[in-house]
Amino acid sequence: MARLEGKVAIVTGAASGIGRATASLFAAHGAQVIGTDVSYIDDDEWQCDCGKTALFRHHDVCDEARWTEVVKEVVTVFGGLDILVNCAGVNGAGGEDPPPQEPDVIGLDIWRKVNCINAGGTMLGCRTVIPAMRENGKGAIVNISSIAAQKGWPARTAYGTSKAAVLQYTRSVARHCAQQGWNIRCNAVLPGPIDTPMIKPPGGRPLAGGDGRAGTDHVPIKRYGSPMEVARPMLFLASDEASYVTGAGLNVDGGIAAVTAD
Amino acid sequence: MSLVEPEATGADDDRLAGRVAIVTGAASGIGAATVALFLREGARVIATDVRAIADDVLNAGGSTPAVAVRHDVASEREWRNVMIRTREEFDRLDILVNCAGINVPGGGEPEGQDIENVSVDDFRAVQAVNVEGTMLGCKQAIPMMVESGGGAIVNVSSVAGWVGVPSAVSYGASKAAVWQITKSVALHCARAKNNIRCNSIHPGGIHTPMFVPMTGDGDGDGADAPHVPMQRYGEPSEVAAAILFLAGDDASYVTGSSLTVDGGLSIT
Repeated sequence: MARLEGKVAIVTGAASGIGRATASLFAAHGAQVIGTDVSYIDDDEWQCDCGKTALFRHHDVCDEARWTEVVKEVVTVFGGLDILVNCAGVNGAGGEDPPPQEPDVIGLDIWRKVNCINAGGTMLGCRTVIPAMRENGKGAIVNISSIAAQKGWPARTAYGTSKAAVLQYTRSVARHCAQQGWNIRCNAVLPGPIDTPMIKPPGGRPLAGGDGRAGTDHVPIKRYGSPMEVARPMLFLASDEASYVTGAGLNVDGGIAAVTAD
Repeated sequence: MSLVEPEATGADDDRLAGRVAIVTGAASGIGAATVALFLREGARVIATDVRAIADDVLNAGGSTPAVAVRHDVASEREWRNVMIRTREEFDRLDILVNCAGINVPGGGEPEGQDIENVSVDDFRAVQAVNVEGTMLGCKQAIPMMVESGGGAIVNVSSVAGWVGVPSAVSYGASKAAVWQITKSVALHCARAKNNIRCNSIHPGGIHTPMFVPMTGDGDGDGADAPHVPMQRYGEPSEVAAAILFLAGDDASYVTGSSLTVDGGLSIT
């Protein structure tokens, strides 16, 4: 049984990491996938992973007008929308000389940039797809929060704050849609350190965790997760198997949540 | 290069093929639904309960029936017996679902279970099944899972383990303990590097015999659940689906986590 047979799914941040894995897994389970990203990806490679009818669109998730265009195109071409995965995100640590985020020195620019993409992009995504999902009669949204939403991470305060916002927003979207009687569920996953370019930038230093150290010492099972290990829980949450699950935040973190009080 | 690993593609019909699972509380409700789903997904199942388990539960999978074992989860001796039976029947153990639970000794309406009226005997009886039963299950299952190369434990806690439950103080306390045990077991197994995951599931109001006094007759028309954002109670099969997720390989990086299956109840 293909677990997403007949579903149409938009996945943002689909060019790499968790988004890329999610798009290919959803396609393997029968979904019609539309991936978006600010980065480009080779068409042949994309369709090899996600199927010949899979679309890929350039998309800055902070761009309201672009959100409207993308969703409109998807509904027009595929006749509806069932699933949105808000995967696009940044931690502000990229580039040659990333600005600091420690509380005594953080600047408003990096704060706004990270929160705009992670929290603002998620807000715009939910807002834009809800009318399309109402039209469709059903829908499931999966947002990417983070273990960083639940614990202190002095070096990435903008990131942690934005991911806490995503978790809060997920709960409000879930409650709103359910109370309105719309058949739209909204849940979040909270990944720990996943082996993606965000954690291990090509040629760069591995990102340090909340204790200021790089590596997996702080992970109870002592390894990074793979992108596919986050994609699979999202497959569950996006599918009809999670029909009574809404407003949930699911940690996918190798046990870190069990040592973090929240 | 394709990112899709071979096992992620193709048919997912038998997500628990080759696995051996113990499911407690299997006679009704969430436990019975879990047995049925696990059988359909190809698992071999030891189904336990203090009550008799109906043939239609044991045969829900079509081909191989589940093995029924009479079992009081509060008894360590009976847990040992379950392990002996599991070894005799299948000689391995991959999954344990600690589903057996009570809200009131003897079942029925949770009357007189608030903090001013609850008896010590009732409080202890609920902890014995829900808390000691879960603890004993984890303790007894881990060694055979280690022999089998690893495993997954799913403990059935409750939204009542998080939120105040003025009418059922024993039940709320017991489910909070189940949640806490889950995290300690997860970290213990991580430290031991024994490839065993342990997670908890937190149902809200589900149409089971336990909650009939609270949730009505199960018609699920929504009129009886105004405080649930989804405006309906859940079905045992909807909780079983979440248990399947946590018990299977899809949750390979998930341990020490808690998953609510509550129609949004816990976010209100």
